[in-house]
Amino acid sequence: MTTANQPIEMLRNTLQEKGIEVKPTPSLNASDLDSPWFVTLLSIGAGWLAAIFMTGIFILLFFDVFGNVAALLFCGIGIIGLARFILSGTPSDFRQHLALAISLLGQFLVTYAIFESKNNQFSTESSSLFMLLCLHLGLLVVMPNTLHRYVSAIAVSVCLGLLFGSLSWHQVYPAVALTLIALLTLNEFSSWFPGKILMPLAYGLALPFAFPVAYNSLLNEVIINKITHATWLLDLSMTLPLLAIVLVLVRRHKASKLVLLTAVTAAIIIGLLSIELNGIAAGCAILLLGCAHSSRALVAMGALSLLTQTSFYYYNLDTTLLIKSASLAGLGIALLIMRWVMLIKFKPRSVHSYGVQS
Amino acid sequence: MSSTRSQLISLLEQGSLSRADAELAAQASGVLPSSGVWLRFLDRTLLILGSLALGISLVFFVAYNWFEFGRFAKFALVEAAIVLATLVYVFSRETHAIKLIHQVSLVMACLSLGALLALYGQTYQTGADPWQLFFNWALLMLPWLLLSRSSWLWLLWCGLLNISLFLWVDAYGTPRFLPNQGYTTMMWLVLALNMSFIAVWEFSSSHVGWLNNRWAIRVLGAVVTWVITTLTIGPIIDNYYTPSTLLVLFIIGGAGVYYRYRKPDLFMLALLALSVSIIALVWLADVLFLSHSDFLGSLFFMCIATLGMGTVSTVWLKRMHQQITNLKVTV
Repeated sequence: MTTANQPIEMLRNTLQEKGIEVKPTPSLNASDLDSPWFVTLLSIGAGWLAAIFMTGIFILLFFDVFGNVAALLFCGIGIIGLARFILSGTPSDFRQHLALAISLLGQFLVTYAIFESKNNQFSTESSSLFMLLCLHLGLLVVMPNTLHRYVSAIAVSVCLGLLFGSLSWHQVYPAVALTLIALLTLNEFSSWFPGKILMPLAYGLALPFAFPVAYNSLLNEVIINKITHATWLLDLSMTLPLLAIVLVLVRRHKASKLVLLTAVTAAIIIGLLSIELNGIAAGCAILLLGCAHSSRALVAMGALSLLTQTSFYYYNLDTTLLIKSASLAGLGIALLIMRWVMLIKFKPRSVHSYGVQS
Repeated sequence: MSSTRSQLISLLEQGSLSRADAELAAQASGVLPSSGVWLRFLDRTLLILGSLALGISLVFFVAYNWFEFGRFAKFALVEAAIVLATLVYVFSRETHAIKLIHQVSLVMACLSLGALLALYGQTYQTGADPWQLFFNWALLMLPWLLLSRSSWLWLLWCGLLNISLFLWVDAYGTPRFLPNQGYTTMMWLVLALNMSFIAVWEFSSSHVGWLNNRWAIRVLGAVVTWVITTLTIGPIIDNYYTPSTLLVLFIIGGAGVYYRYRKPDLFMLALLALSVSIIALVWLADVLFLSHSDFLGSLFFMCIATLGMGTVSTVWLKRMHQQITNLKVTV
């Protein structure tokens, strides 16, 4: 047994002590070890850069193909198929990078073909975006590689947002995305849940909440002249997923009616305050989901979402600084009162004597 | 070392743990948190968010009424913030529950000190250079720094000295005893400053426990990596190599040896790998594209080189990760 297995061995022993059967794990090698996020980021960057060069090569070699939609589609799907074939071999870092770069080239060609076909009378922007969404959802399922799944998940998130924007449904997109994130995350350990495929999707959908500037720049290209004035509906609609998350978590812990009432009241207050302080309901929801499943990625995205939305609030020209100050003071007081009530009602000693989550 | 969550997911993906037992295993391993863990999370989150909201509310209120305040009222406001933050620091104890308040209050005091100096400069128009504001700010907060045992504040202090250096060079140019290469010389000064920060911090962290915060050293490492990469890419693009370019490569090599053998740190090695990859790719692009060789062939070589460098870096880093993990487990 290698020393790299030791941490998993401790978990295996813990589970077996509690009567849960765990079969022997194969010995780990370097490529199986959980890579830190910055190593994964390096891989993704290399893949993207190589794909740009490959796209340049393809354009130079097959320039004539770009006028023919069918040929572009055929080439694109064929190239994606080649990437799939490469990934089906023995996993290695070189294969992973090569497949990612080739797949991105194929995706670029298919995307170009889809939007080239938009120029005819049978196609609309929405239908093009829908086809693109189906492509990336398909890649999420078909490609047997975690890195590729994360890239596909980001693409799904962007396509879904743009699709909603093109249909003038951009007001409900955040609530729909938040609901999907909640559904995916809360069912992560259910027996039917294909976690390998669907959890990257949850992270991809949560990303626009953490980086709203990038997301909004993309969306604005689609929703120009489609802005409605019922923005309060958008903010209030995110209270529903937050309430649902709170109810599921309270039920999961079989908590008392008092806990249920407190949690629901807190969610409603945050939801109402989010009409003024846009986006805090979404940030709180993602933060709760992250804690509920010990997911550092979701906790970080939730925290980033809250910070970013608070910064945006300063630049909001719809209200004066005095009203913003009053809203924030109200929120701050509400949160501190919630904390005080929680510490009084739920045995203050237990707050300091809990164990540390590993 | 992997987190418990990623270990559990690993067991599920390998088929060692049945999907039917996944939820039970998640509860048993603590991945689905217990009530105690929830209480701690909510306690901290509500405290941080509530305090932040009140603090920002105060800032907005002051901003709204700023032009109504007289000169002395403005000074009184900022000085009151410093006094209040210092009192909170002095009278809060470093118990588990309020260690965060203890640290945050001193950070707020240091930030308010900067606001006071800015207000002073703005109100009295003393004619002082901007670099003096940041330098004096760094100097005046030094006593708090020495008492605080806070990596956050030391990092803020390093940031202030960096800004002072930038502004000083902007105002007076580079020192006369250095070769006058404008931007390049300034980058060398920034490199020297931040490398000295890292050297002192690494040396001190061996003797002072609370300084052994890798994340702070890594932030400085990221700054140094950016400077090193910029200093090397410039001569490549300009096709003007100097002996200092060799010095940069020597620094990269030295840092690689230190963080591989002396004080293994995967993040620092990843930064160095990124820097070397970028430098190599820029050099290759310069050789291929600017030498008027076949464009298609050049693109092809660049693609292969990118894939190759990415793969080599990732494989090497994963191997280092395993070795460093094994080393920590053995120790």
